[in-house]
Amino acid sequence: MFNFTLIISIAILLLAPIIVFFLGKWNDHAAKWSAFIFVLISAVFFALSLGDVLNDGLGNIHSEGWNKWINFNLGSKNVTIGFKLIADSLSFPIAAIIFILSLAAVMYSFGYMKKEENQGAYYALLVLYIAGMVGVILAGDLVQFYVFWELMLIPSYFIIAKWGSKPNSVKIAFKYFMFTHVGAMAILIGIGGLWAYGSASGSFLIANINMTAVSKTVTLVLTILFLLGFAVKMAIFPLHSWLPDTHGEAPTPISAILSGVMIETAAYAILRICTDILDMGSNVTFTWVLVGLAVFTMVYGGIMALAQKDTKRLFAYSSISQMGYIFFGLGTFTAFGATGSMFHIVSHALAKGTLFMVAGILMTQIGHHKGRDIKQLGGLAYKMPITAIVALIAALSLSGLPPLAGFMSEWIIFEGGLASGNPLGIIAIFMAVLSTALTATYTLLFMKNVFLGPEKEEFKDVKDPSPYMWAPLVVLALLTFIIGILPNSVLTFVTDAVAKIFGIT
Amino acid sequence: MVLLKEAAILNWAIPFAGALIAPLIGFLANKLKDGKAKNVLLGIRDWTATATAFLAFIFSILLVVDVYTGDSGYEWIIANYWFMPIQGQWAIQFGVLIDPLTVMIASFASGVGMLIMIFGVGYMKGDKHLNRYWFLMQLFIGGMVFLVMANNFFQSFVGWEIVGFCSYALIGYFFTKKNKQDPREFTIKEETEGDYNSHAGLKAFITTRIGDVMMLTGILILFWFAKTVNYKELMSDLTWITTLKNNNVLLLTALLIFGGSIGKSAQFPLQFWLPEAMAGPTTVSALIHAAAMVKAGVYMVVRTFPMWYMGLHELHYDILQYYFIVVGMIGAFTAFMAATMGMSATELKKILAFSTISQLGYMFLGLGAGGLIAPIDNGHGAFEVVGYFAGSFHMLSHAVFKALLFLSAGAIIHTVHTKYVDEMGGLRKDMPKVFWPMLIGGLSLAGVPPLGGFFSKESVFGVSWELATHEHNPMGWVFFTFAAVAAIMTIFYTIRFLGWSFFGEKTEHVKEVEKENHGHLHKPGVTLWLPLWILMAGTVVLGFLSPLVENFVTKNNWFAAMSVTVEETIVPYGHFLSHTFGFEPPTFWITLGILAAGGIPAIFFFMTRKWDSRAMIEKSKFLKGINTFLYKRWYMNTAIYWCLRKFKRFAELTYEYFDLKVIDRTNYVIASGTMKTGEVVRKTQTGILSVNFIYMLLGAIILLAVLLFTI
Repeated sequence: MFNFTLIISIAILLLAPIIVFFLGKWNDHAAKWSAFIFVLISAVFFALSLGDVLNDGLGNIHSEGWNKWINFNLGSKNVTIGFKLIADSLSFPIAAIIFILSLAAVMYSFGYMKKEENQGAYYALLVLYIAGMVGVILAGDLVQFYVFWELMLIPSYFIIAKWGSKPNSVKIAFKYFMFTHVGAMAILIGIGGLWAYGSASGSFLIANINMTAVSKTVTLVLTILFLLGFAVKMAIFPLHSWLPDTHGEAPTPISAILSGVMIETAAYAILRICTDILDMGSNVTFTWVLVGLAVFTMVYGGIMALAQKDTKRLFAYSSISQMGYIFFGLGTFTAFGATGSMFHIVSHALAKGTLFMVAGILMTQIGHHKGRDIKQLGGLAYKMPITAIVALIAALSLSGLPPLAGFMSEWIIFEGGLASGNPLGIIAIFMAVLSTALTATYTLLFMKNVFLGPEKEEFKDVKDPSPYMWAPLVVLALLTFIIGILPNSVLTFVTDAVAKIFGIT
Repeated sequence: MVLLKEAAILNWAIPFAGALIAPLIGFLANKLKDGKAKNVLLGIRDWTATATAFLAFIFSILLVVDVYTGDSGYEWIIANYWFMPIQGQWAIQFGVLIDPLTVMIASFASGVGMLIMIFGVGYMKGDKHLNRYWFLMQLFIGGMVFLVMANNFFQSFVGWEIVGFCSYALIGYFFTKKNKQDPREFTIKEETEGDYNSHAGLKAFITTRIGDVMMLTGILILFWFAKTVNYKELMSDLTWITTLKNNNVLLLTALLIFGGSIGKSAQFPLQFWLPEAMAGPTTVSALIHAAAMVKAGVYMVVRTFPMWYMGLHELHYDILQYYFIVVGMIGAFTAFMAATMGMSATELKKILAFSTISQLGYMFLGLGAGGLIAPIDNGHGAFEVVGYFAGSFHMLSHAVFKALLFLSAGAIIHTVHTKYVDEMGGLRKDMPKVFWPMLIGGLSLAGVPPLGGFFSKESVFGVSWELATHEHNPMGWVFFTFAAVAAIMTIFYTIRFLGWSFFGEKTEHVKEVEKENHGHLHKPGVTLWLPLWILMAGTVVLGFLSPLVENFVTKNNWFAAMSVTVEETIVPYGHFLSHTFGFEPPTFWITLGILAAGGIPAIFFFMTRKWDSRAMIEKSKFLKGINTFLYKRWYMNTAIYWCLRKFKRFAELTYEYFDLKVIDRTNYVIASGTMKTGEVVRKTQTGILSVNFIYMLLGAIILLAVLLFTI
């Protein structure tokens, strides 16, 4: 269209926090509505780029921005850093789901953060956080990618430290920061490596990097560095221990975004960098290691979720398990697996976002501590029917029940396990499918212990929350259902990009 | 002749649409104030729901006519791809398959479903949450029809899970109910309706889910090697069986897909969810047992039967005979085991639940035995495939009589407010409209000629007899023995529950209920008894229709890929009919012997009450032990719960001692280690000028020394 839509979209997200913050000094309502409207406008501009994406053809990359933003010489080598935003059939659906979940979370915050102080700062940081995530997905340059990667970390650190559950929030935010930051360091080194070995012109643009001529050892080391950084973000066992704390103690809208989309940005980055640029699939041993880790993570996360007595920690462990699925799909290095993983990002975002927000509703409607203790809850379905129904839909989608979105994506991931040609593929997919049964167990146990069962006298005045809190959930649940029935709505995009990466014609 | 092609879509789409419309009407009605308008609107809602099931039935019958007058049915691919996981490849179709098997199941699922819905209008009257009830019931019927009409595994699996979800939600329909007992101790005093309902629903869902895991894995493997999941494509080209064989996964795939049926049809070792599934309203139990859910598992085995059969007898992959042996043995053992449990249960619905498990076992037995029998040259240049029909016919006749029994049980429970057979008694004179249908249904279950159940069970016997005598396969004798012993017990427990509830004197409990109702029992209304009589007529007629049904069911061309022409499949009881009560198949006489062996003592125990069974059990320690053992369901349920509790404990301990104390602790150890190192090293930074100067001097000396030695 104008060929500036993506830039405008990001620019709004980057500049809006200032306005939101100062509006917040004056009035809380102004802050929250301005945050919502800015994200919405940004989302509209982003959606306009769909025309460009389709115009350029689904397999091609639509890009906007400047190839040379910073340019200097370092010794004999040129250093060129660009500012490039790319939207292709891979980044478009993922950025779209980030926008959808972010809008839901912002609106949900209206109700959830009602009684909190300093709302201007909260919404400003939230918008900046969203900018970081969208930027990571759309980044076309490695340095820019890194900057956005850190931008995704810093605002969320402050939000968790300030508005997380007391009294541990500062400590937990620090833990979150350190973990992710160490991972980010590995990524930074990896980026340097890509530049040093793969970029002849000295440009950091992803499109300009070619690693085909580089020796296997270097590629392997770089792949491991990147995977280390991304695995921390995705909380793959044994690097997962930051996640339950962080997702459990963050304010709920942030938990929803953290679990729903932020940790999945790493999966996207793995496909973009490790699979596409570094072609890690050429190393067969990797398949074994990664698939093994992934299967272990999904089963382990599921078993840990079974032991939880706190709703938010339960969902946090469930996220670890679900990241196992996505990692599994990527680890198979097949078109099936990659497609399934990217699809699963979407369906997991919808389901897990909903479930975290349900947990948040319980906390606001019942009590900050009581509302998250599974043992004290029970029999709430007739009291809060809307919440119960959306929770059920999300729970079933997560446990892979057709025709909901979760089943479609998981199914494709599992098929990838066979497609990899790994002789242990059948055992791996059996374990993977078995862990969907585990997922069904813990999500439905959650349903039973919280919403079903005998009604309790102490909860007789509990009601559904205000529409600001349930409307986003209803939208997410509907999307889960629609995408489940029409999986092509997402797949047409994803398959094109995956076909390009894997060279399928 | 194709009457209405769209009927194959409408028969599941209409219940799905109704699932949205009926609750919407109810939602609007609930907004109104109490009054006439509200009641009328609520009535419209109830009958709308019933009407959608009726329409589904009509459209299914249209399809039956199609298939009956046509050759063998046809496939209609609605969308060439539903979705495509890889660009341009591996498309999953969306379509329907119209063949004898699918339309038969679709019509009995919707037909019996419709009668259950009519019953439900009266039975569920006054419940506050009927919107949910009608939503789920319609979704259930729609899902079941969708499952069978689907033309590929993937689509069937979607329907499969819809059915699973509906049973989860409907079993836990009264989810706020809870009795005093601990739900984990179901084995101590067994309760059904009004139990810890949400727990029972969860149990059903998770248990069947274990089966689904196997089935989904099987389908995934099949899809990968065969490159398609379309039934017709799979049947027309058998090279995929060879591919599977070459990859050493042939038997595994077959058994994994059968695993789904084990869970869904409540076969050993996943049978323990079904008795608790009685926690839902009786109409739901009837639907689960007769029309939907458990029949889905049998359908899947019947559907895949020709594939594995041809793999065994046409491609001669002998490994597949183990598939049929497993199917048959699981069926045989389950039929026997569940029948023993049925003899000691005291709840009416639970006895029926055990009988369902047992009868499903018969279906698998028939299919397993049938699969082992090679096609028989009938001397006219054609071959008979024996046994394919036995399982599917028993499924049909079981649908009719089991719905009848459950609905009768519902009517009784509705009237006397108890579910324990030993608290009933002498209801024969007061409830004739329920007594006669239930008696006929019970006799059909027991296999008394000339009712539907007799013919279908007889054909199962016939198949295993055929296997034993003609094929000289020792498995045939095993199957036959299990089947015969289970049949003796079947008639015993059938007469037991009929006798306890309808014969003898009225118990104290019944008299109390009578007193509350001014001296007489509350008579069931027309919506309650009319469906019973329709079903009774069905089970009586079905037996005589069996040749018709047989011709119909075997009118498929699934075996067309065989090198021989298959004329039709004839099962032994067909000989029995054609030879005018002939002497050829001894199974008929054996059946009569079985009925006498189980039935005569039962009549003395429970109908005439000449012998006192309870006193006998009290007196003998041995009998008492057996009774407790059976009553507690062979302690299998207890064992499962023990395992689950241990698993939960394992999860908790791992969380506490591994995740928190090892993995998470490591972070803090690293962190505090860094801090402590810093604290120690910090002391070197004193800030005193003279000390710093000494450090500087030392540094300079070391540097000089290094320089000196290296140069």
